[in-house]
Parts: sequence; C-alpha cells; structure tokens
Amino acid sequence: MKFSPTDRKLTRLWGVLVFLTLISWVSYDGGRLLTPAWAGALALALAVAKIRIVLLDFMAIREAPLLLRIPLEIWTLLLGGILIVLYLGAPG
Amino acid sequence: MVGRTKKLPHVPGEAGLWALILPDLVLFSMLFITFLVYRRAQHASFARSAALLARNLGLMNTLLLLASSLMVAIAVHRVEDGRPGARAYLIAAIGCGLSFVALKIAEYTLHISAGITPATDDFSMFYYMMTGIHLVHVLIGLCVLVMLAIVAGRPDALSRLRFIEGGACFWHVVDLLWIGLFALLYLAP
Repeated sequence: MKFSPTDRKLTRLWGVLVFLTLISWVSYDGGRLLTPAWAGALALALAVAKIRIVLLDFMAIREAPLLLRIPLEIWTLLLGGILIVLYLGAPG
Repeated sequence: MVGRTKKLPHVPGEAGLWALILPDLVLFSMLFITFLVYRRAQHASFARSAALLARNLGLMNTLLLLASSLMVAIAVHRVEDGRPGARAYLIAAIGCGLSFVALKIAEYTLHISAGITPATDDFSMFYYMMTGIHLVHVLIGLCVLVMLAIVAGRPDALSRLRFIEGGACFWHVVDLLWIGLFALLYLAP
C-alpha cells in the first residue's frame, strides 16, 4: 500500500504524539531534572498539547467551521489551565 | 483532514454526532476537575495509591490508542481519496483496540488480586470509575470501528463518507480522553 503525502503527514504527527508521551514518561521517572510536582504539571501540559493535535489534525477540526473549532480550542485551553492550576495548588 | 487541497470548512461526521461528543467532553472535564479537587484534600493518600498503578501497562495502552487513531485517520483519507486499504487500516485499529481492552482487564485483575478495589480509597474509586467509563467508550468505539470496516470495504464507501468520518471522530474522542486519563492518573500523582 503506497503512502500518500497525507498519510506521511499523519504519521509524522503520530510520531510527535509518541515523542510527547515519552517525554512525560521520562520526566516522571527521571526525578533529577524536575520535582514530582513539576513533572506532573509537565505531563498535564503535554497531554493538553496531544489532545489539541488529535482534535485539530486527526479529527479534522482544523478544517471545521469556526463555530465548532473555537469552542473546542477554548475548551482545550481552559481545561488545561484549570487542571494545571488545581494540580500545582495542592499542598506538597 | 490533514493535507486536503480544497479547504471548504465542514463539520466532520454528521452534525448530530457532535451532540453526543461535546457533552461527553464536558462530562470527562468535570470528572478530571473533581478528581483534582479531591486530590487537593488528600494529596498524600492520592500519591500513595497512584504509585501502585501498573504504569507500564498505562504507557502501552496509550501507545496502542495513539497507533489506532493514526490508522483510523489514514483509513478515512483513503476512503475520501478513493485509495485502497481503508479496511485493512481499520482492522489494524480494531486489533489495537482489542489489545487495549485485554491490557485493561489484566490491569484490573492485577489490582483486584492485590486488594485494590473501588472501596479502597477515593483515588481507587476515581481510578475505577473514570477508567471504567472510558472502557465502555472503547467497547462502543470498537463496535463502531467494525461497522466502519464493513462500510469502508464496499465500492460505494465514498458515498458514506460522513458516517465514516463520524465513527472515526468517536474513536479519536476515545483516544483523547485516554490521553487525559493517562496523564492525570499515572503521571501526575
């Protein structure tokens, strides 16, 4: 089965998703570069970035009418912000 | 989707599907927020319980769902462009989904045999509730993928593109919800 430019672009984006997953994994396990709290916050921020890629490029929301795209973009940002603030706000 | 040349905005899938997807996203957002509110009050207990999770299985499940999402996205493009292979990609995605279910069952078995149940503490209650609701989504998503694989193999698949796009979107939602769950439960104790 031949790969089209679209297939290649989707595969590159998947590579980014896997890379971001592994960064959050390594930062959790490392424990040297980041405190557990900041490693957790990084994992949440990277999760939000990954969710945005899935939404925009795998679900094609990048090409959706603004009436759908804008609320989803706001939801992603807002949810990410709330989660990180709540997470870092917990007593260590 | 990615790489299209004609960029007329359109809602992927049938519009009615979004009446299901959007409330689902809101429901999980509320669960995520509630989880962190509880975590604020019981930080030490949440950290202790999170450390008991089988994180390797969580990582493998994440990689499986990411791979399945890629395959589903490629399949949709193949139908759209009239290229062959969509059904094979969807069958591969179903394989990833089934592997996810098998690993999840193994993980639950592991925890339950170690005495970790929903009644153990609040973290465990959230863990079983959120991953359980997600698992129901995976099972529904797998049924949807089977339907897509049947439709995508037909000569008139292009005429059912809206249906295929919609089913694919549901599967991607299953993936993105897991991305959030994985970070919250396994990587941010």
